[in-house]
Amino acid sequence: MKLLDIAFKDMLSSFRSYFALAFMFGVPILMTGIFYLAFGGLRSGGGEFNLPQTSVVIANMDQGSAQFSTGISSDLQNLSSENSVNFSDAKSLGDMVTIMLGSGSLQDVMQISQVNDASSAMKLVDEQKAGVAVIIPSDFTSQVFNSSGQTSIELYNDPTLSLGPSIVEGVIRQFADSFAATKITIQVAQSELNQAGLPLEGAAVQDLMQKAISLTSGQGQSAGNSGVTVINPSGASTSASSQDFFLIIGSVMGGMMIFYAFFTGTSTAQSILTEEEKGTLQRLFSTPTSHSIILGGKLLAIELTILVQVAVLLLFSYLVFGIHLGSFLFLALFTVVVALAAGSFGLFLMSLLKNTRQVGVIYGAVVSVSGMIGISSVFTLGSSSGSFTDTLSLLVPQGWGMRALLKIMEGADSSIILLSLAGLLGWAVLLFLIGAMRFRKRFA
Amino acid sequence: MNDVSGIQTKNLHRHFGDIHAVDGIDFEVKAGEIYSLLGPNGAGKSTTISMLACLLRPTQGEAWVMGHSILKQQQQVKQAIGVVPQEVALYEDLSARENLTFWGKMYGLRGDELKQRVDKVLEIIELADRQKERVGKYSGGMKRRVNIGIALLNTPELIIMDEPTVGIDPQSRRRILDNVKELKAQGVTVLYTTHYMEEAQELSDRIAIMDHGKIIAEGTHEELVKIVGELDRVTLEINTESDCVLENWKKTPGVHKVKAEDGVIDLLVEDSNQVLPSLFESANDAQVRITSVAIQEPNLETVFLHLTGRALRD
Repeated sequence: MKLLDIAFKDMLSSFRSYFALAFMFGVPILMTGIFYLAFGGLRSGGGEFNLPQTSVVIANMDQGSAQFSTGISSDLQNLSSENSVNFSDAKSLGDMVTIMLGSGSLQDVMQISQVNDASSAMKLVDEQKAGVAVIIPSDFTSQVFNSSGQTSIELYNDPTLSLGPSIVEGVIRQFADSFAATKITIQVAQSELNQAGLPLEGAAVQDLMQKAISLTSGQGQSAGNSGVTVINPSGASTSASSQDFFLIIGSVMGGMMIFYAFFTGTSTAQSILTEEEKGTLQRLFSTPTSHSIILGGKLLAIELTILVQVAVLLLFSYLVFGIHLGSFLFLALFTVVVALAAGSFGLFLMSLLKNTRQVGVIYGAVVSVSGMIGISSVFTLGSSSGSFTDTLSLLVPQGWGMRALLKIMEGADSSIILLSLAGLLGWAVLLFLIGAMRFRKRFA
Repeated sequence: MNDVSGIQTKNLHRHFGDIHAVDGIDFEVKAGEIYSLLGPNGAGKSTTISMLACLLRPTQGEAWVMGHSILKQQQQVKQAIGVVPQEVALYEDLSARENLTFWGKMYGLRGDELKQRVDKVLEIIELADRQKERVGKYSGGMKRRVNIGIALLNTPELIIMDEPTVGIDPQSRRRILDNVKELKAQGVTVLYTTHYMEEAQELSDRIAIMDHGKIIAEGTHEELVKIVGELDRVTLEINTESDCVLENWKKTPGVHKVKAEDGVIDLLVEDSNQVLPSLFESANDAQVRITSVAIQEPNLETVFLHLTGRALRD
């Protein structure tokens, strides 16, 4: 009973200290909150990415060309049957660009509208009714089919926007580059053939151009799809990224929780030295209460304080941040073992000190450094340096705690989780035995 | 051992390396009396108390507290006594009531008995109206009262008080001395340590004077004063210290002891009226001016000076 009385008294003191409360709950939550806000923009409530949709106005004035009508249309019919984008109605390359931008794969990020002329398109942007204006000149197709012709698509965008116009520019540039590359290739081929005495001129060049553009259009569309995939993740990649988000925030929360649990273990264990200096420990020894009950009560207070801290942080992370860290059973086991390890860690450190004046060094040199080493894997998730820091972190108990938590979060095999927890428990037992032995000798 | 004794010690020693903090003391405190250990800082009073409270194990010797051996029956000793440490030993982030309740539990009190004792002690230390305030907000005197109150919780047969009035205002000191007298009136045995001669004189049935770990004199106030006979204590202040005049004063008939420090000279003399003119004459010859003179009847301070050649304040 006295054991519980001492533990309750110590816990009461701890939970009445604003300083202790700040480090137990405030700082870990604040740190996680910062990370949450930093990455939170990538995540919507449904767990999907939510890139802003850009309003794009197209002024397609392209008149097409005879070569396009006669040579490519049939190829586009075939191409449309093989791909999701339907180019069969395209009468010009300008139409193809318009169809491309309005395709289903880009609908999430672009809202397309069309006007007849460049000034109308630009006016809509000026009035901020559209984010980007795409202006396709009237001779766009004919210039592309002319081996020496030059043309360009103009983009006019709202300077306050960055992401949306970049996406539009990327798609159009990819499309336009494929035409440019085709023209350069044919020009080089024509020059080489001429030098070899096999002149390629007139109708032959036009024919070759048509075929090349037909092929390029197909590849361009594929390339377009590919590009779109990169900037607008598919359903599958969106889901994976959402998991990454939770892994990052969960790891950060877990890391902070472990770091500050060990901090709490040390600061709570400091009460042994504080009580010794203030004379209350000697006074306790003068009561009919055995030394083992007194020290046991203080250790119980340390354990229970950390248990409350970890439990509250886990609950908070679930309720506020929506972090699902994994199996409840393993999390409960993890909480108990972390409390034991952090308490023993504090007991061990305090047993090495003579007085509270030495405590500052311990916080700076031991608790902080070992804590950073232990949770370093949080900052190297997925990086090449991860294996090194993983190994390094196992040199301190915090590392075993972090490893156990990550395994629980990953839903790893039970044996792997239990092995990590056993490693942490091993640390707890070792540190407890050394600390208890030293204090027993000290207060004998 | 004597079953009726509050405390009995037998050749009690405590060494810290080469330092003999307590060097073979024997004394007996009778049940129901106030017994004071009087001596300067470092005399061994607190070490003696720590051994009797089972906080320190004697290097040699034995002692019995309320009939229980401090070596073999520590739990019984602790249950029978209340200890008031020299430093205030309280939890400042807890209220007075929370402190008393916690310490009461440490003495094994529970339930209604605990509540009644806490209420009673709060009444005794006159803090019932401020019992819910955190002790950290209390004045030094109020903390001292709570510090004493804790030792009263288990209605002990013996209370050990280690310099309980150090560093507090006169009003709080007066209140504490009155509390100690009330304890005696209730039949509680009190072992009291102090380096204030007046406190020992006012409170004690018997006094042991300690110095360098030994008891150099023991008895009632009257018995101790008789050690110095009819000697008066004369304290002179001079404008400049002169070895010559000190030597002359030591040789003056009727002067027993001379001690000089920082321009203040303590002398033990047989008849101050007869000796003073000779002292002034010697000072005059040495061109030393006496700036103040104080004459005291024999008291414990005089006894300590007589026995050790040093003042209690040293």
